[in-house]
Amino acid sequence: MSEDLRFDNYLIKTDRSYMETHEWVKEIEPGIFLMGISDYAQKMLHEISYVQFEDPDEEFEEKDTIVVVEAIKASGDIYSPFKAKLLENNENLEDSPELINESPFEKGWLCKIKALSDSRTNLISPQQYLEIIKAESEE
Amino acid sequence: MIHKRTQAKWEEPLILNKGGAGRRAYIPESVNLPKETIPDEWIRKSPLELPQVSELELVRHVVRLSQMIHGVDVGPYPLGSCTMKYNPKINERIARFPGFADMHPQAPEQSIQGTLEVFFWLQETLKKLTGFDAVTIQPPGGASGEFTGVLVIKAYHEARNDTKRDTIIIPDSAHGTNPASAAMAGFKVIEIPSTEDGYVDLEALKSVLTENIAGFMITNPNTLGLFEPNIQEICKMVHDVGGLNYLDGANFNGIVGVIKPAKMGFDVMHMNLHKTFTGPHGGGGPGSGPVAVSEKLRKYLPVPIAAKKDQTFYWDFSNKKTSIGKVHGYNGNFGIALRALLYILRNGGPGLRKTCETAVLNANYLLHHVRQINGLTIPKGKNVPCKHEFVASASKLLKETGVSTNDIAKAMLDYGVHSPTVYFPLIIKEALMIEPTESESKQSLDLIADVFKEITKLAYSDPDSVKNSPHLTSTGRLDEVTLAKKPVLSQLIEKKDIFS
Amino acid sequence: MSPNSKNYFQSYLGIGPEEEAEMLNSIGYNSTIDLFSDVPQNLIERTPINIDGPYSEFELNSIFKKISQKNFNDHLSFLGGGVRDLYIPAFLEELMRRGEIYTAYTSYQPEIAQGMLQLIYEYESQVAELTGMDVISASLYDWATALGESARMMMRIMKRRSILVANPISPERLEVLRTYTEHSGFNIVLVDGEGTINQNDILIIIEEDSRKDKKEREIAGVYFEIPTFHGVLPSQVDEFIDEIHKYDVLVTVGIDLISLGILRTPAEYNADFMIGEGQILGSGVSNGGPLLGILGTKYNRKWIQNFPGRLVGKTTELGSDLPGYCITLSTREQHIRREKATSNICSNQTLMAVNAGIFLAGLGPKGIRDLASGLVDRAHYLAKELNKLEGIRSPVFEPFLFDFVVDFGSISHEKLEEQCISQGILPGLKIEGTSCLRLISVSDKHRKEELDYFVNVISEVSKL
Ligand SMILES: Cc1ncc(COP(=O)(O)O)c(C=O)c1O
Repeated sequence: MSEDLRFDNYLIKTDRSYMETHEWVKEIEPGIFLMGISDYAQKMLHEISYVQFEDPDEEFEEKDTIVVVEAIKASGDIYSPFKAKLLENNENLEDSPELINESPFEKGWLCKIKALSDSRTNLISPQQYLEIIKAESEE
Repeated sequence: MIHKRTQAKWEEPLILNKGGAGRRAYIPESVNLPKETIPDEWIRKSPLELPQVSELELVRHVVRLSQMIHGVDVGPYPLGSCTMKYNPKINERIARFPGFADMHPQAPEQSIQGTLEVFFWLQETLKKLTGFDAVTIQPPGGASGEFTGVLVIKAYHEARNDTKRDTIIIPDSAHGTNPASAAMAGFKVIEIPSTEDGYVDLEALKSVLTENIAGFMITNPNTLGLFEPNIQEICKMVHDVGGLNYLDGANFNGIVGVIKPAKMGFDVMHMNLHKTFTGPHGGGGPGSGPVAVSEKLRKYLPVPIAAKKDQTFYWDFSNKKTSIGKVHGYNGNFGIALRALLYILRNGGPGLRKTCETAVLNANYLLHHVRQINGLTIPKGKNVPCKHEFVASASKLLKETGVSTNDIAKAMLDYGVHSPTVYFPLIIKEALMIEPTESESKQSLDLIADVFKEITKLAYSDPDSVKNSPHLTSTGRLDEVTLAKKPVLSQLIEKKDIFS
Repeated sequence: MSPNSKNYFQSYLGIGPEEEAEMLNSIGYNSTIDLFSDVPQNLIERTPINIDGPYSEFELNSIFKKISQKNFNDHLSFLGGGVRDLYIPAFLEELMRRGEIYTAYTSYQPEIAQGMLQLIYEYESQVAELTGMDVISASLYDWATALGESARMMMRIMKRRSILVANPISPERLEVLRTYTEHSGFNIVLVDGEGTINQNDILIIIEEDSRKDKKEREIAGVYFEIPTFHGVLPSQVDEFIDEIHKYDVLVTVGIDLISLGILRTPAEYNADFMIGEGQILGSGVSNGGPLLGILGTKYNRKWIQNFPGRLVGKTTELGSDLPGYCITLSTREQHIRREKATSNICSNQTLMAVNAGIFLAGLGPKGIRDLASGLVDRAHYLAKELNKLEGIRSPVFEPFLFDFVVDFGSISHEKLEEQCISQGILPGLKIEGTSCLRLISVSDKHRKEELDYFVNVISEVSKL
């Protein structure tokens, strides 16, 4: 596996894909994905205070909001990367939303989804994602 | 060195935790009539632990708390977009005249001629000031006015069977209520980017103008405090595809008495009487958000509207069938509408014009001084005067010292100056939106500028002292994170110990 | 009324004419109108807009004194239906005149607004105590818009598109509810009852809906009022709400806050949401506004995330255990969530909430009980006395609390109003669509003599 990337003090794990809207998406079994938000996104939101989940078993179209992550003065909608079914939410976050700040890529995962379409056009590589946050922070 | 001020720091317990058994500040009028009972199944069983305090205890409590509040009556309040101007005291006296304060809204017309006259007079006056043909005073706040206005737009298209118009365009610099109101009315929202200069991007606008567009919502002067130079062209572009133009009149103070909004090409607008026309802000409201429209939209306004025939006033329900319906249980915030009318009449045409020009002068004077402060920049409006407000950015300061807009806002409080609006509009990083209003004196503008100067200087020499501010307010910074995780929203929640 | 050309408006300007010139000069302009040089010149009015004024303070005072006296506020009023003209104690009026309170805005900077935030928290806490609901909004515009917001919230939470509403409900509240929902694709279904809630029909409709596929279900919630718009206390509400809940449908009740001095609370009968009109807690009827929309619920994080408008909570100062108060859970609101916000509300009725909090603290537990039972005694006495008159049925519906419907028989609305007004009385609220039914509401301003006077006048009118 290639070495993780860094931009400024933002970590970008290379074992997964990203979205332009700052989600990470990792295929854990064929067609089954874990989702979370990037290190950059959690740092932009600051201290996360609540995660608003949808009900498991519901289906979502591409770009539908599948989770909302809330901080004090900002919130982030997490979009479904493709048509998908929500399998499971990370219930640990209900009592400990700070896990997203502490461990955005591991303990702070948000939900597990099952792809209902083959489209992966919303996914980008770690390298591409790095360019995006680079552009954003230079703005 | 400028003088700081120390705010009162009373350690005042919650009123629910004060007092003692049997104390009673207010004993209602008793009546000499037989005691009645209510059905057994309805008798209250839960305890009722309201405070038991004497009148003096209660008065002291509230007076002490009031000393821990910053209002316009206390000091400068340059909170951008909110027009924190002076609230004339004559308005307070007149609003409390018994005929105004104690009158039921549904009394028969002959018994409320005074009320109707106030509504009618204000409607007629707002028509003249805006250049529009019809006005409703019913919306109880600016956001409610927006909701009313976009529903009027919807009704207009629907009446023409033009049902595909499901989208409202809004610039990315817009206030949050604009997209929220459009969405509440069932519209999709398209946000368009602004140009480098902070204006509506005509190309971006053109690219989204289709026959699905119901309308375009814009604030002018915009939320950067700049007048949109192409506003007439913009309105025409929207009209050309069959859309209507909505003006968010929150910034009316920047043009009132000098420009009539209807002339720019708008079809509908709301005003915020609590901003431009001195309704006191009340710690968050009440406001009042009348909506003015052109002739072709008149029949969609909420009813009733005050009308006059010969010398008699009456409620006109004639457009009930075409109206979008009521947006308030009665006729809106009469008390605020009355204060606005009083203020307008006190000024007259010449006074409002002078007011507007002075507000713009004060803003430009302060802008001139803020522009020279190291660490702050004025990202937009390089070569034009601002209108009633302007937006600075602390991005440079943040990069160079780690001191953010939020830190500046907090540090200002120690000087007895309220902070500007922060982090709005969203298109400016580390935004400080500054609106001094015409009420402030030159000394007070100089003070605000000096406070910015001193804080930014301190940011370079001792950033931590800024980051740890405020020091002299009744409390320091609060633990907002724990609260958002475990929201203690009433003493009942505390008593039930919900979070343990 | 000839407008006076004097510069009375100078009172409100921070700078004088000489200073103006100096300031303009210092920033490189000659005249204030030059500050509009960036504006397309065809938009600029060349002369002041021709409106009335300027008036001196003295002139305004006299003109508006006269206008206010055209209102018949000294008439003995039996108007209610949502707002109520109750006596306001002097200390409350005096406290609300404090400029620190009424000239502040939203407490965006909590460090400099602790007094305001504590007053709001005390309001929330006392209404919570009174209603049993843990979370109280601070605040909504009025009862009617609180109903609109509550209906939208129930539909958001349940992801369904219809609300059942028990009729009788005030026509104004119903109309606002429709404006808030029907234009954006939601449905309001009215279920008629005779003065009270038609529990049977409501349950039948819900039962039918519940048989649909989960995704096809329409009914998100039920709304009814206690007492109803016609004054009636329904029976067996606990069982009714339990039944509704069995079908996975939410309940909002509209209540009279003062009635809770003696009545069971919405928390006791397990309503999900509670709304009401806060004007009755110490502010004037003021021609219908400013009012105070109250919305409350039990603590349920998911629901609270769907709440409209401001919420103030209690926390501590960073690095100490001193209590502090601030606005919280703002991520629901328009300034952060924009088109996805739970509501568009921004400015609200905070001042009226503060007023209501101080009023409740002044009343205390005994005061609100006395106030409520005093209204019951007055209403029942009046209803009985009216019923003794030939051709008049009073009350039409029972059991009732503070307000009741009277059937004035052969006395038409027009005749009743004309005769009563000429005798100094505003005879209650005409019930829409009827020829002789009116809703009569009492106030603590009514003494026995006044009630008797009303009865006498009606007695005379009935003989005309
Ligand atoms: C630009 C703008 N638009 C709309 C509003 C909403 O007005 P209100 O708070 O009266 O609902 C505001 C108020 O803050 C505003 O600044």
